[in-house]
Amino acid sequence: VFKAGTPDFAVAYRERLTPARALLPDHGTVGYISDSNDEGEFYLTQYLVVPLVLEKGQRPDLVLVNNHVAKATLAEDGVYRVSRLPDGSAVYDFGNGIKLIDRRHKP
Amino acid sequence: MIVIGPAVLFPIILGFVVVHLLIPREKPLIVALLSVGVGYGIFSWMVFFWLLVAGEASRGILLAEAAAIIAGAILSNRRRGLGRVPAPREVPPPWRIISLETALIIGFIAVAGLAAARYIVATRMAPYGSFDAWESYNMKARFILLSGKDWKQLFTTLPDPVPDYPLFLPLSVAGVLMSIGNDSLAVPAAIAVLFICATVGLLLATLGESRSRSQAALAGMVLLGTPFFVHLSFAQYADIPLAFFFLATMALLILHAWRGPVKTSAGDPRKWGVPPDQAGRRLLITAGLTAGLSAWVKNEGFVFFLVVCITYFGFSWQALGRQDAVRRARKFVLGGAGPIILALAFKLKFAGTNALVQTQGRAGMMHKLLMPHRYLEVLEGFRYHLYHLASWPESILLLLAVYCVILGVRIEKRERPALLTCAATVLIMLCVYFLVLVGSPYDTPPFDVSWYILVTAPRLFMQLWPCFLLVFFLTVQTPDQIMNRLKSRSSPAV
Repeated sequence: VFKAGTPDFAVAYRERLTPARALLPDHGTVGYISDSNDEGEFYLTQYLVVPLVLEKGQRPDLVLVNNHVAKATLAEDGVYRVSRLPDGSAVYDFGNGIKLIDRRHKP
Repeated sequence: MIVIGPAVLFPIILGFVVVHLLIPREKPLIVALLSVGVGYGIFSWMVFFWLLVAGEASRGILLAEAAAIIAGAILSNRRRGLGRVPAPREVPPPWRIISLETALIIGFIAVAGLAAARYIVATRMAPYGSFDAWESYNMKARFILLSGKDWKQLFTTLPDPVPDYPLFLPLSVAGVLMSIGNDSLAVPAAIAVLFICATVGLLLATLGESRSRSQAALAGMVLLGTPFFVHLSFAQYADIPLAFFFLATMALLILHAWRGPVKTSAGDPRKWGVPPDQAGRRLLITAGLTAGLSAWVKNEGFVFFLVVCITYFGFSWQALGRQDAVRRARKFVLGGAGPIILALAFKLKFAGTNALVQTQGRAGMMHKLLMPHRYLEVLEGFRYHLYHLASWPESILLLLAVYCVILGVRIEKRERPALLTCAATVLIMLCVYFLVLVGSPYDTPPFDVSWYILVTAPRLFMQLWPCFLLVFFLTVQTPDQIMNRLKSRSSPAV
C-alpha cells in the first residue's frame, strides 16, 4: 500500500498547501482552479481548508491556484512572493505550484 | 490522548447502558461488543439533534451524553428486580483438545498482532486515512466542528461527492471532536480501531458461544488475516462499521436461536418445548435495532434491513409456522423501526440526490439495466474479484471450500431458520450489489464499468465478509468435533 520513502498523498499535499492556508480567512468561500481535473485534490483541498467552503472557478475574491507544471522556486523569505495583476489583484506565489489570488483589496 | 480516550469511550458506555437494558442477562462481553455500534449509533443521532437544537457544535454534547447515560443507568437499576431470563440449555462441553485449541488461539493472537502492527504503521504514514475518509466522512466531521452556526452548509454549499450518504460516521467523529473541543486526527483513527476490534470480537464471541473456541480462533484468523479488510479500517472508511452492524444483526439472530426456546424432539414439531421467553424476544428487538442502524451508516443498510426482514420471516414460517414467523418478524421490525424512520426522515429532509441516479437519471439507470453486455462485464468482474478476494495471496474462497469438503458440514436444527436467513441475506445482498454495478452510470473509458467494479466491488465484498465467515464457520464442523470423532474411532471398544 505504501512504498518505502513515498509520503502519503494527503500528507504531501498538506505540506504544499500549509503556507497558503495560513493566509486564508477563518470563514467564507474560496475559489479553486487547477491545471488538473483531479477530483481527489479538489476534495482534499476542501478537507484542509475547512471551515472555508471551496468553489470551483474564480468567482470568489480569494482563489487558490493549483499548478502542477510550475517549477519549484522558493521565495526570498522562504514563504511567498507577492506580485500584482493588471487589475490590481495581489498574487501570492508559494513557490510550490500553489498560488493565492486576492481580489479583496484592489487599489 | 488523555482527553480523547474518555471522549471516545463515552458513546460505548451509553451503548452498554442501552444494550444492557435491552438484553440484561446477556453475557457482558457480547453486550460490550454490541455497545460499540449501538452506542455510536445513538450518539450520532444525539449529536445531530444537538446541532439542530443548539445551532452549532459545542462541548454541551457531553452534558447531554452524561444525562443519557445516567438516565439509562437508573432505568437499568430499577429493572434489576425483574425475573431472570431462563438460562440457555446446558450444552455438554465438547471434548477439548487443549493443544489444538491453544495452538489456534496462539495463531489468532499472532495474526491479530500483525494486523495491529500494520494498522499502526499505516496510520502513522497516512494519518488522514484514504480517499473517502477525507473527501467525505472526516471532511464533514471537521466542518461540523469548525463552521459554527454555518454547519447546515453541509447540505447546501459544501462540495460533497456523496450528498445522499447518511451521517453516522461524520457525526460520530464530530461528536467526539465536540466533546474534546478541538480537531484531532486521532479521533477517526480511534473510532476505526474500535469498529474493527468490535467486529472481530463479535465474530469470535458468537462462534465461541455457539461452536467452540477453536472454531472462533480460526474465523478470527481468516478475518484479521484478510489484508483488504484491515486496509479498509485504517483507511477510515464506513465499510467496516457497516460490516459490524451486518454481523451484529446476524450474530443476534444466531444467539436468539441458541438462547430461545427449544423444540421438543418428539410430538408436534410446530410446538415449543417451553413457551417463548423474554430473552429471545429481546434479542430479536436488538437484532432489528442493529439492522436498522446499518441504514444510518450507508445506503446499503436499507436494503440489508429489508432483506433480513423478508428472509427471516420466510425461513421462520417454513420452520415454525406462520404464527411464530409473524411474532419473530414483528419483534425484529419493532427494533429497527426507530432508526429506519430516522434515517428515512434524514433522507427526505436533508440528504441530497444519490450520485449514481443524479448523473444519469432513473431512465438512464433502467437503460443500463437492459444492456446484456454490462451483465457479462459485471459477472466477469465479480468472478475476478471473488477469486482474488481481499488481496489474499491465494484464493481464500477456494481454500475455504477445500477446508469445508475436508471437515464436512453440520447444521444444528434449532439454528436452521437463522442460519438460512444469514446465508440467503448474504446472497441477496451480493445480487443487489451486482445490479447496482450493472446500472451504474460509468460507460466511457477510463471511467467505465470495469473501473467502477475495480474501485467498488472489493469494498462491497468486505461489508459482507464477516457475515460470510460467520455463516461458513457455523456450517462447517469444528476441529474439535473432527478430533473427537477420530479419537472415538481409534479408542478400543469397551
